Amino acid sequence: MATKNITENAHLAIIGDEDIVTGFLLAGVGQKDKKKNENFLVVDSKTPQSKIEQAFKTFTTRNDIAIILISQKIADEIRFLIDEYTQVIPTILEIPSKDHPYDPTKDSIMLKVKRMTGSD
Amino acid sequence: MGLKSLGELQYPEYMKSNVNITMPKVVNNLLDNGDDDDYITVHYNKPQLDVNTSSNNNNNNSSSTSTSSKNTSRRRNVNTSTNEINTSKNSIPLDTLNSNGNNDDNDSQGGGSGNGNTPTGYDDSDEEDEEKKKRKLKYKSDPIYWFGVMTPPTLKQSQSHFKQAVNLSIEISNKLIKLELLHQKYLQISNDVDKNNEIK
Repeated sequence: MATKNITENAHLAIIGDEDIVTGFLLAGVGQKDKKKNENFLVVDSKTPQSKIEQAFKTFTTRNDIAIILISQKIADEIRFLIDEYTQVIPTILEIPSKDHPYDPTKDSIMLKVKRMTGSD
Repeated sequence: MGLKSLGELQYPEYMKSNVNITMPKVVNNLLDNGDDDDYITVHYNKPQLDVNTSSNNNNNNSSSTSTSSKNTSRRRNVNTSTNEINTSKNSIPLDTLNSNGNNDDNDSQGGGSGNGNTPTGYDDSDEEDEEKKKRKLKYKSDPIYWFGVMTPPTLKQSQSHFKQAVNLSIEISNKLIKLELLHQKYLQISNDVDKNNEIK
């Protein structure tokens, strides 16, 4: 049995449109402290791409985040960052949003699985 | 109360997540976990559990207070029949008490006003304070109360769906981590095989 350094009280991070974020906050995953560190980012049509990149980088470097849920539409915008990403934890899950149905050909996990199994 | 608006939604300025996720800090050499696939586990925080228990308690308490309020109302009825002077004072709390049967959320308010007005008021103020505290905690900890006190059942349904989604994403992440670790192991083994072939 490997000795594991366990982090308790880890969070999910959410990057998505307002409906996604509101829903997951409703489930009770929201976290916000006095330094205004949030574990979610609401992205609308006015949000600049630099802000999304910044949030993604903060979420991946924070050590108390286990999973990053990102809307597939937003993931497309920062695809180069996600392709560069090699860490195992936090894991990045691409989720569909209300206006953009899920596209398995763009999903990084599906691509990874296909590459590993060697099937098309 | 320091509320900020997220669209139409009012949410508190400081949030503490109800979901407690446990994850390994270092993922290397985790594959010898054997059959244990749960790298990331989730359980709901104690406040969440407290909500459940306190809601049960609240139900019990509310039933007890409602019975006690019935008792007091009976007493008050006796009072009104004997002391005609008090009827003018008692008429308002009696109305609120009658409405208590319909709406449990008004229990404390109605009881409080009854306490102030009638000399025969019951001595449940401590219990009521506890109940108020529990109710406050419940309001604070469960995000569904950001949407108000009377939440529609569809909202509760969507909340449970999103909780399911959280659990599912944990499951998927575990699979993803296992996949990644297996891939690393595969690369290592194939490297070893290549080296062996070179030696031969």
